[in-house]
Amino acid sequence: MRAGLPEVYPRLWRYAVVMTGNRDWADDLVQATMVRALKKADLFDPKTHLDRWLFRMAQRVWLNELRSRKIRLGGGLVAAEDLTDSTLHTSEANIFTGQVLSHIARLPEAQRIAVLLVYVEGYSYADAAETLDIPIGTVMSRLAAARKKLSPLADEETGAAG
Amino acid sequence: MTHPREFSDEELTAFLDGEAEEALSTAITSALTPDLKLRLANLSTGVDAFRAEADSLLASAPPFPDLPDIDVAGPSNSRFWVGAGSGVVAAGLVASAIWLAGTFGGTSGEPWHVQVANYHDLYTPATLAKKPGATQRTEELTRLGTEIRRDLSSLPDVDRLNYCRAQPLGFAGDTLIQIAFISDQGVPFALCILQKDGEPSALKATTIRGMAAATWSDRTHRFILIGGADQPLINAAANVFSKAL
Repeated sequence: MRAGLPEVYPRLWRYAVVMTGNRDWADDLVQATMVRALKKADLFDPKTHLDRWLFRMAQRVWLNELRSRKIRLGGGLVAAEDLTDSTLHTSEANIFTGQVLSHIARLPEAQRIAVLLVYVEGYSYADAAETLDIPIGTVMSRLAAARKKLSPLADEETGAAG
Repeated sequence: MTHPREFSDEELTAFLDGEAEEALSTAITSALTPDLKLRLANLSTGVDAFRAEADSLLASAPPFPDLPDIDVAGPSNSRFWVGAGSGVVAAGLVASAIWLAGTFGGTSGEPWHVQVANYHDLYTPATLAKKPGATQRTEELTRLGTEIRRDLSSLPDVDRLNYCRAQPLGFAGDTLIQIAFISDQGVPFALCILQKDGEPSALKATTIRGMAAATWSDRTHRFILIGGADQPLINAAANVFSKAL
């Protein structure tokens, strides 16, 4: 397992950045995930995919251990589905300032991760569902909602409302 | 007259992704009116831009760190031995391990300020290379001040100590804040504040783990400033901080 980490590391980091919306938090999350992975290395089945194992572990660490603390520091509890992050992150590590990652920034956390796994990492719906530990239907819903948010029509609606 | 079937966004998404069952794919392909084609086009636009942004993120990923050997004995109240890794990674991974353990080693028996010293002993100049701007400093201190119920936003500047970052930690369930500095000579310093009720104590110079330190407390918080070997610098800085906080 340890020998495979260098190859997966950049993708794990990207996964953490997209999930947390903050480079510093992603650094913390990746470090915490690596520690957990090294401690549980004997549980990894070499016949399975290391990236999925690590992504799943990072998600659990984030959701179960780190995210609530980060949200508290951000100034208040926010419903998970409403985490568009721009309201939480005001530091320079916030990836949603500026226009460089504007499309990623449009989506709430759950949709960002689904899009990253399926449209960037190339996971099937089933693999994404297994990695995220959610039903396939939920993956499909998140992807559909993300596609709508990313479409030009969403820009027009936002412009009309603003 | 039969009405054309309406397809949901989920169904169209599955079709676009090649995940639709054969019957659905056939139904959509057979019903490609101009409106449906427009819906499919609109659902397709934007994904490429997301993909491009994700690729740019990948290109900016940090290098793979040297992994120290981590020997963990027991469950969450583990002791951690750090092997020959870089100071930056060692500090980060040990900090993460401590974090995962739930608290800052609250079950190891050592007082909080000693465990702060253990943690700080891992720091190297590279650990604190990044120095934020004034806005980020104010924002960090304001947020963490709320966390620890002590106004940190007006933390004074101290000659020769350059602010690097502030972060939340924890000790035995109590809130612990670390404010990290680096001196002009590249020596890391830390001002740590533990929110815990107790008796006040006067400023006291000391040495912990070979590092110069100063401790003091009031009825609701305990403080330690630690780093390097320059006791006069520590004493002078602690004097300023203890009056201001």
